[in-house]
Amino acid sequence: MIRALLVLGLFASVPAPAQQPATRFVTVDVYATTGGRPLAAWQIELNCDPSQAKIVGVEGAGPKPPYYDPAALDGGRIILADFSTEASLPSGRVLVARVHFQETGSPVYTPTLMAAAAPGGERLEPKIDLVRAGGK
Amino acid sequence: MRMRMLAGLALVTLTLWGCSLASEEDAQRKTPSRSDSLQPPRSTPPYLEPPQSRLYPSPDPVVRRDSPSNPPPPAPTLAPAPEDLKPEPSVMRVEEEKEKPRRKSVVDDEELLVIGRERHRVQEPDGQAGPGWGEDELLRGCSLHTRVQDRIIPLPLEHTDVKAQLTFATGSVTVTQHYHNPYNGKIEAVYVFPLPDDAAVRDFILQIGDRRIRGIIRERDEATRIYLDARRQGHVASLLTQERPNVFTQRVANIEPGKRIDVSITYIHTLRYQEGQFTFVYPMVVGPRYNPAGFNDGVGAIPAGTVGAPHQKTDVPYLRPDQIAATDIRFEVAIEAGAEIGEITSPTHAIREARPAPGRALVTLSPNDRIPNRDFVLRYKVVGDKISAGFAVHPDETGGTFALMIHPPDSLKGVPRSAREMIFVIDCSGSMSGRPLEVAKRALVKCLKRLEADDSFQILEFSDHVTVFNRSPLAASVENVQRGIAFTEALAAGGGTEMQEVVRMALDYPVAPGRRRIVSFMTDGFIGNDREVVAFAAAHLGSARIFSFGVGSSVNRYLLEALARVGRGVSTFITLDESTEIAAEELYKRIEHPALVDLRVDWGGTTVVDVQPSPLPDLYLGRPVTVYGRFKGAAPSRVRITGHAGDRPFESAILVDQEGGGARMAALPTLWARTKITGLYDALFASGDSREISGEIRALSLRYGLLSEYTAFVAVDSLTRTAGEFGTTVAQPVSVPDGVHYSTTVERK
Repeated sequence: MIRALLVLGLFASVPAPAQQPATRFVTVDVYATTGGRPLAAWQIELNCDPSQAKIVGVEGAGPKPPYYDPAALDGGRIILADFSTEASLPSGRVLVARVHFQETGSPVYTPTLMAAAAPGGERLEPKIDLVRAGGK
Repeated sequence: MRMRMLAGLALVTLTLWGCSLASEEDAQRKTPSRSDSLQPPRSTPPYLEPPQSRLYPSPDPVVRRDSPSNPPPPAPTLAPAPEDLKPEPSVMRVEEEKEKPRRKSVVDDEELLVIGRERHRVQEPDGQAGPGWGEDELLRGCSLHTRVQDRIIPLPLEHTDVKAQLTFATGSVTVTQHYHNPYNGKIEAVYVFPLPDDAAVRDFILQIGDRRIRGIIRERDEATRIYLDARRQGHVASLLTQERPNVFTQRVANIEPGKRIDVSITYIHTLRYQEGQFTFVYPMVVGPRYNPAGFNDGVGAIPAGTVGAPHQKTDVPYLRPDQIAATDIRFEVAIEAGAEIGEITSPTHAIREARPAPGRALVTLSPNDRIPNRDFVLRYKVVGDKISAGFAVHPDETGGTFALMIHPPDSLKGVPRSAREMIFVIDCSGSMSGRPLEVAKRALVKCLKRLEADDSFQILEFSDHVTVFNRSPLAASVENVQRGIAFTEALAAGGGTEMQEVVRMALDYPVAPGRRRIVSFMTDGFIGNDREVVAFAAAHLGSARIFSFGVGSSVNRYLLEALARVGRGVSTFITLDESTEIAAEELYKRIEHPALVDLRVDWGGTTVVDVQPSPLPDLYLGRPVTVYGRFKGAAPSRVRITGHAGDRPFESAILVDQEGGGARMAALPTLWARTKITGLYDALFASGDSREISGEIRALSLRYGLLSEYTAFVAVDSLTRTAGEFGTTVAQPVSVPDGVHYSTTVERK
C-alpha cells in the first residue's frame, strides 16, 4: 500500500501538436522508470487545461486498468493509482497507464508523481514521462 | 413524561458488516479464481436445451440448433447493403468453461427490418451544448431490428455474466454484458436493462479484446457529447446512463462485423435482511410499462421493430411471444456470511450450491434456467437466533462514515394492537392478466380472512379507471368479509394502469376516528410515471401508512420500495410460484403491532451529521433498519434510541463499540452517498423540480463516482478508429417477463 502522498516535484511535460482539427481522440501513455527496482504501487496525478482536453478513459498495461479517484476528477485533472501483489513485478521503464483524451485544443499534459513503492512498501522515486499518440 | 426503560428493547447488534482494512478492489483481487475449489457446474448453453414451456410461451418445434448436421444459415445483414449475407461459423459450444456460450442459432427465412435512415447533421463539437450533440441525437439516425417468424433471433447482446460477492449485509456485483456484431455492417448496440433500485453503480469497464478501459464518470450531458463525438469519429465507445433508479441504458458504438465488445458494470448495495434471512435480488428484464396519455417522460414499451419517433424518453422494445432472443445469463454468487450459513433457497430459479466452508457458499444457476425473463431471488439464513452485529465504520481524515443496523425491540409484541382501517388496492391492468392477478387475488383473499372483528376495510381495483368495493370502508364482519372475497374473486384484468387516481382515492378518504389506516398496493408496478406516483403518494399520505405488495416475476421494485419508503411502511414481494399464505402472513406480521415511531438517536456526545435515511423510518417487528451517517472525531461508542409505539414510550441505551471502532468497511462512504441520493430523489420529485436538489445529487454523484440521472459513465478507445460512420443502431429487444402477456401489455389489446 502507498503509505505517503508526497508530491515529489517530478515533472515532465509533453506539448500536443498545434493546428489540429476541432476535436480528436488521443492517448497519453504514462511511463515510470524505476531504475531496475520492481514497481509494486504508484500514484500519479496527471493535469491538463480542461478547456483543451477531457479524460475519456483509463487503461493499464495489464489486465486491470488503474483506478482513479472520482473526487479528484476535475476537468483535465485525474489522480491515478494502482498496485500489485504479484510475485513478478515490472522494472525499468514501465508503462503504468494509458489515458484516453478528447482534445479540443492544444493541451500540455503534466504528470506529478505522488508516491511509488517497491514490494514491502519501500519508497521509490521513479522518473515519469509521457508519450502522446493518435489524433490523426 | 416519565420514560419507562424497557430492558432489551432496541437491539443493536455488533458485527454484521464486513471487516476489512483493505479496499474492496483489493478484496476482489484476492477472490479465488474460477480454478479454485468453488467450481460452477459445467453446462450446456440454455438455447441448446429443450425449451421449457414456462420460459417459451410459444415454443416453436423448428427452432434450429447448431450442429454439423444442421449448419446455421446466413447471418442477417444491414440495409442498404443486403448482398453478401455472411454465414456464421458453425460451432457447437458445449464446454462452457472453455468457451463462453455464444449464440450461433441463426435461421433462414428471416425477415429484416431496417428503419429508414435519417441523415443527421455532422457538427464539430466545440465543448458547447448545441443541436446535434445532445441526448436527442442519440435517438436519431437509423435503427435496425431483426424480425424473424418463430425463430431464434440474432442480436448484439449475446450473454450476460453476473458475479456477486455477498459479504455480511453488502452485495458487490459485477455484471458483464457480452456484445457481438452478427451482421455484415458496423453497428451501435443499445440495450435498456434493469439493476436493483438501490444499486450504487460505481465502476464501468469497456473491454476490447484483451484491453480494458475504465470509464470516466461525467456530467450526463458532457458524457453524451463525448460519446457522440467518438461515435462520429469511428472510435469504439460506450455510454452508460440511468433513466430511473432501476432502469439503465447501455450504448456501444462502432462494433465492427464479427467483433466482440464486453462491458462490465460494478455496483454495491445493501442486502435486505429480515426475520433472520438475507435476500439478494437481481432483476433481469424491465417489465412493459404503461404511461398515461400525454405523458412522455417515462419508460415505455414498444414492439420490437417499431418504426417512427420515440414514444417515451426511454423505450424498451419487446419480442413477440413467437420470437426468442438467443441471449442468456449466468450467475455466480459467492456468499461470505461471517457465520454458518443455513438454508439457501431461490423461489425463482433452479440453483446449484457448493459449500466449501460453514460460512461460505457458491451458488450458480442450473444450466436449464438461464433465460433472462424474471428476477433472480436468492435467500439464505445465518444460523443462530440473531445475527451478531450491526455497526461498522470507515475512518477518514476528519472522522468517518458509519453504518448502524437498528433492530426493532421484541417488546413491541407486548404493545396492544389498535383497530385498523385496511385499504386494499389491487392492480387489474392488462399486465396483471393471467397468473399475476390470480396470485394477487389469492393473496388479497388471505388478507381479508386475517382481518379482526374491530377492523374495517375497503377494496379498490384499478386499471383505466377505479372501481370501489363499497362507497366507504366496511366493518370486517363475517358477512362483509365474504362480500369482499366474492368481489375479489370476480376481478378480471385488462386496460391501462392509471395509478395516480387510485392513490388519491386511497389516501384521501377521511380516516375513521381511532383507527390506523393501512393502504396496501398490490401491483407489478409496470408504470412509466412511477416517480410522479411516488411523489403524489408522499404529498397525500397524511396519517396513513403504505405497505406495498409487489406481485409478479419482474416487479418494478423501485415503485414498490419507494411507495413503502415515503409511506413509512414496508414492502413485500411475492413471485408467481410462492405461497400467497406466506406473503399475507408477511404483511400481517408487520401491521399486527404498532411500529416504533418518531425514532431518535442520541449519539452520546459524538458529532454526527447527515444521517441517512432522513427522516428515520419507523421500526416494524422483524424488520431492522440500517442507518448511515458521518461523524467527526472518534466514532460513536454509545447510542441511545428513543421512540414510541402506540402511547407507550420506548428508550434503549446501546453499546455499539465494544471492540474499539466497530468493523471496518471501505464501501461505507459509497453506501452512505447512495442512500442520501435516494432521499434527495424523493425530495426532488416531491418538490417538482428543484435546481438546488438536482445540483446536490449531481455533486454527490461526481464526488463518489456514482451513476445517477445527472451523471454518466463514458469510455472511448482512442487508440483505434473504425472506418466510416458509426453504422446502424440496433436496439436490443427483450422478452416480456415470465407470466406477463405481450398482447395485453405491449400491444395493449
